[in-house]
Amino acid sequence: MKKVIQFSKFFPVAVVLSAVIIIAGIVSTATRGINFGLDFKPGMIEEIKIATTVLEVTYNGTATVSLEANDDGVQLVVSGIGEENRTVSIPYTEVSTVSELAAKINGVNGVSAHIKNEKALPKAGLFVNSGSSKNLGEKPLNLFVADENASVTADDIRDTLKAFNDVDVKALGSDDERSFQIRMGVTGDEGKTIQADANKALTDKFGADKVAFVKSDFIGAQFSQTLIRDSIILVLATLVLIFIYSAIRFHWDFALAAVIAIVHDALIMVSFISFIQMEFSTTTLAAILTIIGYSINATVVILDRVRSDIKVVEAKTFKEVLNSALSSTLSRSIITTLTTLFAVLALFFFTTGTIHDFSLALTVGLISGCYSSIFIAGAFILAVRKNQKFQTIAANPNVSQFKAEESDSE
Amino acid sequence: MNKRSRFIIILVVLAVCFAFLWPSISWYARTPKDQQTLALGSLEKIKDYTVVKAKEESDKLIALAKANPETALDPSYDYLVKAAKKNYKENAKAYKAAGLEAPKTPEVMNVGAILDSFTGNSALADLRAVIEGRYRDEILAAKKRYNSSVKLGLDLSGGMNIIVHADLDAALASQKKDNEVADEAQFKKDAMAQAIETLTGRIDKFGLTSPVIRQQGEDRIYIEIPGAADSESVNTIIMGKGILNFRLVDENATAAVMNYYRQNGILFNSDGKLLDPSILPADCDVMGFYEKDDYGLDQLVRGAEYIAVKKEIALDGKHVKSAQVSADQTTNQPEVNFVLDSEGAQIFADFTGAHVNERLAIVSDNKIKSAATIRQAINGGQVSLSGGFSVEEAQNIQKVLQTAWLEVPLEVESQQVVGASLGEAAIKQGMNALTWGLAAVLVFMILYYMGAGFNAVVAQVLNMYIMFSVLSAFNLTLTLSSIAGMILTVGMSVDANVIIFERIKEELRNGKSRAAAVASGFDNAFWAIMDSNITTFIAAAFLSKLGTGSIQGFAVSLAIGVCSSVFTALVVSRLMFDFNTDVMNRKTMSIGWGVK
Repeated sequence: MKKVIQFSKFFPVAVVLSAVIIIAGIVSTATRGINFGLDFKPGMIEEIKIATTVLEVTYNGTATVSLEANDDGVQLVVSGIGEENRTVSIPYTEVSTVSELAAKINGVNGVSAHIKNEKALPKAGLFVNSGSSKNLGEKPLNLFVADENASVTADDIRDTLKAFNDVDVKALGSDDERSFQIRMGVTGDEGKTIQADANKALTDKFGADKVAFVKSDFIGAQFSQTLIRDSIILVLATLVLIFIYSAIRFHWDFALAAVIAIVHDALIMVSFISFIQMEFSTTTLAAILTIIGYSINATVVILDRVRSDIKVVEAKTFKEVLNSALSSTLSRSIITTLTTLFAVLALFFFTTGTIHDFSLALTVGLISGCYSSIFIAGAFILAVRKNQKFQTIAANPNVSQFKAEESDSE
Repeated sequence: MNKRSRFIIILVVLAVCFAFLWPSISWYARTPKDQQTLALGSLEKIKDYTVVKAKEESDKLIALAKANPETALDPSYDYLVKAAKKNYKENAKAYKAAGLEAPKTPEVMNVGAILDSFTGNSALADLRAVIEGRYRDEILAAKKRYNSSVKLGLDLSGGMNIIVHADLDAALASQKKDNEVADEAQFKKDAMAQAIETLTGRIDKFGLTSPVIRQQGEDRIYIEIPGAADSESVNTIIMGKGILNFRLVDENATAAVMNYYRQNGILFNSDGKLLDPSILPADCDVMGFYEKDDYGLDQLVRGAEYIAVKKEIALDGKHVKSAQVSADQTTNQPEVNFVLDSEGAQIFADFTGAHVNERLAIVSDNKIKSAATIRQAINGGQVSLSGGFSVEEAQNIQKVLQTAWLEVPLEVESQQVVGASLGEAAIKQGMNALTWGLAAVLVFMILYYMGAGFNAVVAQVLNMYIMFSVLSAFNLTLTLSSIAGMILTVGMSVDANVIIFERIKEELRNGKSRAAAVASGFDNAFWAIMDSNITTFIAAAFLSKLGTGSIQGFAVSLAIGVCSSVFTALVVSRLMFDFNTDVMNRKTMSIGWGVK
């Protein structure tokens, strides 16, 4: 038999520790608030780059020609009427200057590339405005290169947008790939035009061919309200469903222990989000919901073991059964948390933006989930069943005995 | 269940999964980009393309035959050879029926022989139809592949999504001012359906790559446009009011336009401008004449594809007060009746009086929906359109007339634009995270559990494979958050293996033999695995039903992962243990350090 670790000794400490963290979290939430992301707070987020237009590409003809610029090169996809279907790839390894690239692009029938700035092509290559169609037509498609000596700072942009309320500008990325994240809150009806107004202010200041829009998000006031309401219902309903299922499969106090562990994890995560003022978006919400799923998984495995150990373990008190069950599932708890952490850390290191935050929140939730399934759920269930006694040594387990004991404890 | 039937079940699952996965593989890896662009275009564009292609090809073949009828054709023309053989057979039948001796089917199918097989007045049209059919089939097959493959979400492909809120209460209020509304719920439903229809029509015309437009909840419309799109013009399209008006048809200009179209097969360049503006008088516009096809999609009327109408508007659609479909009392032909307000009635009376026997077109959003001849001056504002259309068409015209008086205010609630390059970076990130996450988990399992760890590795790899194929089977969208869900599932689903292995270890420590330890390990772990996964599944399934966007993608892949991991852990991994025990006659177990 494996050595039994006396987990129950640590229960009081764990309960106090958790309570302290959660209370601190509530205080932090009350005083500093939660940094609600765009999904929950009406407004717009926009990512722009201040760059130089080097080429303007237009097309006149009957076919459909689309232009894509990625890390490796420029691709023109020609299809439809009046042209042979083909994909023309121009890797950056074949062209070193803008004019060489223009010459290659001009080689496609009907497409004309107009050189705005002759330059050597940078390693990072070219990019296009995300707000413009990649299908070429009369309206020129601008190809940008990042400015080498980025002289524009976040302050300059803040200054440009000072006419607007509630503007927040952040500089992202390194010097040679500098982009700016602009966030503006909206109230009421101004939302409809705020994006266009802000973009106009930017292009007026820096020049229309200098501003490239990478990404933009806009959320109206009504939508975010619906989202908040739906999210709350979602979390509560999930908890109820889980409670019902585990109450059917186990016993009400086991089910309650599982739900308490889950709520504990959710609160710890919210506290963490509030401590570091992480943006709370739908993705963060997904992280909390994931941990709900994960933590219930961990708790159920332990409870299952407690249930079966009640029948077979030679013990006098419920405490002993619990300690033995926790000990025999300990390696499983640790290994599963570890493997999941590997996966989550891979997400943390390889992604940026919302998924990066998501994985950070998950890391906290995973550790909390593993801890709560052992200590918090354990502490609760021990408190309820403290007085359950095992008179006889259950050498010959049978289910009816277990059932009888369960009803005793009520 | 014995090992053989379990093995067969696994093979069947793998084969079914492969069948699901195949369209995705062939679309993303085996369809060239230009073919993809074609397949993603609108049906109208595909039709234009095939018509022009057929014309080009047939001209080429005829020229070839003129130069030298003995020229042998490239194997890519095998479909023509097939068609020619069929023609010869049918010709022979026709000759036989007429009691004549049929001409012999040529031994060698060269250009001359193929062209000769097309006989009669419609020879050229038949030849073109065959070529057209072949190009159409090819593109539609690609389109089908796309439809049944995993789609990339906006965050991976780049593009734009918009959620539009339709103010149904305002629409209802404005409707109540003029008319009685008997059933408010039904009115709202109709108004919503119509708002979506109008938006679909406008966005389709834009020629964007496979846009998605669907109703979300009661009064929201979700629009997704993959690839990058011009956000400004898309906004104008959505916010712009429906334009309905009546305009006079210019018959001469129409004839000129149709003549040009028949010769060249195409009228407009990629920007929607006339290729040869000189064919059209300055005071006219040329527009497509549309009817609904069997699928309810707008389609150009065959034989009268384009009509030139005067730029001058005869009557604005805002004068239409109501419209309904009825049947003519004597002929029982369907007709559309609409009522004009008093100002409109006056304008209409004057106009129709001046243009008897000319055609009047109903123009909606720059599409012509009907072109009827004015028989006499119409006074009093009660207009009846009849003759030459089916009940369905009458209903369509009635719907179009409705747009004029049923105005649903739309408001953009959320808009998201993701640059294509950003999407590519996201794919790279997601794939990197997936690879490294999976690798780290697998290496750990092998290091910790040694031989048994290998079983877990196989189970995990199959798990990923099943997850992707289920995503493909249900045409789900792959987003960065669903990749995150997969990665998490990798970490979490190892859990089932861990529970089993830990149990087996315990049994081994208790001195059981390999076979007994495996059996009781799996039995004891069964309910722990089922219970824990069912609760996780409840959470995931619930989220995928109610959540939106990124939550949904994440939840769906988590739910799929939970199911497939239970399968791989309980069935696949068990079979591997049993196979090693029974077939390979292993007596000992490699399941970690210090355990024999």
